Order: sequence, then structure tokens, then C-alpha cells
Amino acid sequence: MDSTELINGILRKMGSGEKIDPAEFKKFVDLQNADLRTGPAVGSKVPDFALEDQNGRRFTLHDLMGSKGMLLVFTRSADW
Amino acid sequence: MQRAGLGVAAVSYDAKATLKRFADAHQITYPLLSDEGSAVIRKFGILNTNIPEGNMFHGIPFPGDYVLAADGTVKQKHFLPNYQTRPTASGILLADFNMVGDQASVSISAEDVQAKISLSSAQAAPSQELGVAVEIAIAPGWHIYGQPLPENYVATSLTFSGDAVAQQSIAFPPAVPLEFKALGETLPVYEGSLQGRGSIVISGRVKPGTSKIAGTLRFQECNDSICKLPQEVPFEIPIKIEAMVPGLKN
Repeated sequence: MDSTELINGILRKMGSGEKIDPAEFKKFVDLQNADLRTGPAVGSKVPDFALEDQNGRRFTLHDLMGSKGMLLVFTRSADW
Repeated sequence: MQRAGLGVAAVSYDAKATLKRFADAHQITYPLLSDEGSAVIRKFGILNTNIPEGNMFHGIPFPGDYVLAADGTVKQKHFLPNYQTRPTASGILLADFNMVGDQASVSISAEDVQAKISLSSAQAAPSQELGVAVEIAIAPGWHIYGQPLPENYVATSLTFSGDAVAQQSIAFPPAVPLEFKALGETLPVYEGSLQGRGSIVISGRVKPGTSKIAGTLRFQECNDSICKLPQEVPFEIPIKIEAMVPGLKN
């Protein structure tokens, strides 16, 4: 089974609530975490953006910033 | 975090309605930003390209956190290979802003040494990372040892043990070389006080409820003329293990 097939298979099972073999899931996690990219380096500036939040309020990076800085978290999904 | 002058926001590829339901379900008041289409995730260069295009999960980032200075410069970032292991807010406050909480700590003393060991929070979920701070005070005239050290001395160390701790990393500052003329040796020592910093990762298998984080502080104290026996001081810090917060579909 190639990696795309394995990833698609697991994601389908996750979507449908089907039982997932733990060994297969471990392989899926490893494949998913391959080639980890972590974005802007320490000491460099992050790109600006404007996004809407859960209440439809629009925020730029500047709007979110506290007086001492901020914690910006990227998560996979709140849905699964 | 906000009390400490720090902004907080989370970005995901979820739709606003999904984020609204998640925020309501878990009483989240900080902005959960909707990056539908993953334009910002791409702009940051952290799109997970291992998920095939056309799949409903395509568009997720490699999950991680950036600690930003007020001008938008990255001070620190935490991207971990296992997405289930995540730092806690309290751990970040401790590690990156040197803010030591006082919620979970234990004070121990042995011979002429007093130590306070603190965890960044008194509660954590399985697989979360907590900050660790240790403050050691040594009575005047005495010293304890750092690294590197010949075999017949015991260096200062803090080690966690037990099933609740999956990983640990504790570092002490470099010790000051002190020449012992009578012995013809120069050894790295600590005098007065010192602070160690680090982190532990709570095991993913620990059950919700009350638990204890156990460990041992090791050191050996000497003065100009005598060395005492090496000390091993066990300690326990009570902690509450929370249930994991599932996604809406789980």
C-alpha cells in the first residue's frame, strides 16, 4: 500500500468512525509528520494577515498583539 | 496570558461556524481564527503537504506555536513531531517569559541546602508539557557541584521518575570553576543560589484524576575543608490530570 493510499484510508475511517488498526494508525502518524515544516525562523518576522474569528470579528496580527507580544497557535482542526 | 500582557490566538482551517461551536463547547474566549482555504497557513510555510490534495483534511498545518515579540519577531517556536504532545500556556510563560507560577510546588531541605521545585501548573492533560523551575539556596560557606565532574563527586541533578512522566529535560546554569589548592583540583561549583529550568511531558497513558509527580534532587555539598555524603532527596508534587479535550466529532 503506498503512503497516499494509507493516509486516505485512515482519514476516511476517521471520518466514518470505523475502527482503525493501531499499527496502521502509528504508520499514518509517522507519514503525516514526515518532512516537518515549522515556518518563520526564530529572530525573523512572521507575515501579517487578516482573519475572522469564531464571532466574525476581523483581526490582523497587530490587533492581536499584546504589549509584551503574543502566542500564536496553529492547530489542525477543532472539528476532529 | 492576557494578564501578563500577551495576546493569544489560534489559527485553523476550520469554518467560522465550526470554531463557534468549539469555542462555545469549551468556553474559549480568545480568537479562534478561521483560515478557510489555508492561505495564511501557506503564507507561513507550514501546510502539511503529506495530506493528499482533494482529501477533506488537505489544508491542515503542521501544528505548532509561535511566541512572538511585540514587533512580530519570532522569539521561540514549538513544533513537535507528535501532534498529541503540546506545550501548556503555563509552560510557555515559564520557559519564554520567566514567569514562575506558585500553584504546584514543593520545598525540601537537606543538610545546608534548601530547594523549591515548581511545576508551571497544578493541572495538565495527558501528553501535555509542563514547565519546571527549581530554585536552590546553599548556606554560606558551602558549595555544591555542577558538570563536568570527576567520578568521586556527585553533580547537582533533578530527575523525575514514575509512570506519570514520559519525557524530561532539566538544565542548570554553567557552574563556576573553583580552584582547590590543597587538592590540586579545579572543580565546577555553585555557591549561594541557583535556578534550574526545564520541562516534563505528562504521559499519554496517565488516567484523569489526582496524581503525583515524583522525583529526586541529588547533590553533594562541601566546604573548604570537608565534603559531606552525597544526598538524594525524594519529593512529590500533587497534580490534577484532566481529561483530554476532544474535537467536536470525537
